[in-house]
Amino acid sequence: MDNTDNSLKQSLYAKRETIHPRHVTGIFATLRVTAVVVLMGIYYGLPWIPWDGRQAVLFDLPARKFYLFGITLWPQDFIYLAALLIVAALSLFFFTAIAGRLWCGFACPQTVWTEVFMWIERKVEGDRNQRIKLDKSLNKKHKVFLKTVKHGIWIILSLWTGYTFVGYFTPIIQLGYKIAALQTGPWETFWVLFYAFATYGNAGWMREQVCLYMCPYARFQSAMFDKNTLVISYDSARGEPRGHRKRSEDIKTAGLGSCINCKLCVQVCPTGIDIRDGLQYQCIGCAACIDACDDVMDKMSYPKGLIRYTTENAFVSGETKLLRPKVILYALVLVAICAALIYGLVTRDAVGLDVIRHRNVLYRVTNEGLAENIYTLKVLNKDNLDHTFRVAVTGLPGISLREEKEVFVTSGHVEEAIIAVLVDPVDMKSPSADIDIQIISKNNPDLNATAKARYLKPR
Amino acid sequence: MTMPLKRRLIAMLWPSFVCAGIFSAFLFAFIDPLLLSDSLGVEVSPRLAGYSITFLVLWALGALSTLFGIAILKTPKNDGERKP
Repeated sequence: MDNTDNSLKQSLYAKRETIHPRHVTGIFATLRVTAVVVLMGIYYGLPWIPWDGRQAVLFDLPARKFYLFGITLWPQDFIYLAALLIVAALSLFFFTAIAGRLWCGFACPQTVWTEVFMWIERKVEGDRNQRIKLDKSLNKKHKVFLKTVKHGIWIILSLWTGYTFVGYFTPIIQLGYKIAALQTGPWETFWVLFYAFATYGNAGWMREQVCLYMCPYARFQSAMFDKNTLVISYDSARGEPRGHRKRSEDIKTAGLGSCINCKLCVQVCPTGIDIRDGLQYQCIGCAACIDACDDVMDKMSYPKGLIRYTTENAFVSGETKLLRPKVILYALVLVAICAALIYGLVTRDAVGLDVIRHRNVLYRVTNEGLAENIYTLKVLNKDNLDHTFRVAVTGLPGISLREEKEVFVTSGHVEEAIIAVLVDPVDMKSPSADIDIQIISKNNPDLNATAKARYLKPR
Repeated sequence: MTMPLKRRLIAMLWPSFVCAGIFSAFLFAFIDPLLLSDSLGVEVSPRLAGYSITFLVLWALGALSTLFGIAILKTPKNDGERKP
């Protein structure tokens, strides 16, 4: 009993066997390489684009402001970042509902970097069979040489990746000079090395294990699936019974299906599964098996598509419904949040004003018999320039400030100012009234903000 | 609950890493790390050090919490099943 128990546990957490995916060409491989080149180009290139004498995309954590091309975001604009994250999550849901694990197969950084690392591996060590042979090889010198070259290139690429990553948070050119002079701060050094280590570990060593054991999306993505979602399927009705045969052989008389059991679909799979066993959670939807199988079908002069992108409904009834309530709902919410985000960014105020009443003194009566209310203003300057703001009050007859007030606020900061507002109580009909307090930049009157405040009449 | 060391390590270090990242981003959207270190009466500068140390502390706390979780998942009943 104990023994079977143990062997069961052993098989559940079987020791990982290194997967040597075979190189594959075809339409989906081309699509993936295109995605890899574009995404890598964006990642490595973006920090080098200049804009108005600064880096176009810089999440300047040390100065607590984010630059996104023409936009500067302050910590007060956190809402936009939150909205962006919601948009990203909803897009993921939307595309998953329609096309399954599109993200996993073509856009996930894990896939993209693994693809690049495997490309280096193939250039150095050769394709699948050569790699398997090398791993078993007894020629130590040759093996150590090739492995050293591979890991060397991997480590250099990882370090460059780490440098680029930190370059998103601190100006990348200055960082480059600092690294060249070995004068980086301890934390910059730490994060460059940390990110490099993560890249090297994830794309070089962990690979499909990240998808199998670490990825939360892999666990809940099936919740977005339905019978109209595109998945990679093996057409078993057409393929079975599988078996070897000669090209000239007639499959009908031989009693065979289209699958020649060449196992190429298994060999190209980056997660090492057999798609012919049906849809499995390990399948990241990369479609490498489709490319491999279509190639074989061509060679056998059979029609393509024994393994294909299709939906459960298409298999059963030949029809796929694209516009389902779920898809429409995701799309509507997505469009609404995107619109709100863009509207918010375009109409974003460059100045903010908060007014707080003085807590202890509700009102005072001056020697001249005027009512006086005290307010604290918090003036926030989100513009890229420093500004001096003039304070104005309106909303009641004869309303005035006890003394003219100007507030100087440097770019990206908040300043407080206390103002005393005078009103002749005779002019006030009710015990309290709303007044408007406005701040206006002296050198750019378009830059202004108004806030409402409660004015109390002496009783 | 026998689980290989590698998977226990992943369970400990990975989710806590993600959460520490999210918490740090949220926290520092509202609080300047320099003000935070001031109010704690410690001197941490520049800001990058404040962000980094907070992140690492949050990560360590999260990992500790998972370690606790893994430990209590090992019930005495399961231990009893394993005969020498």
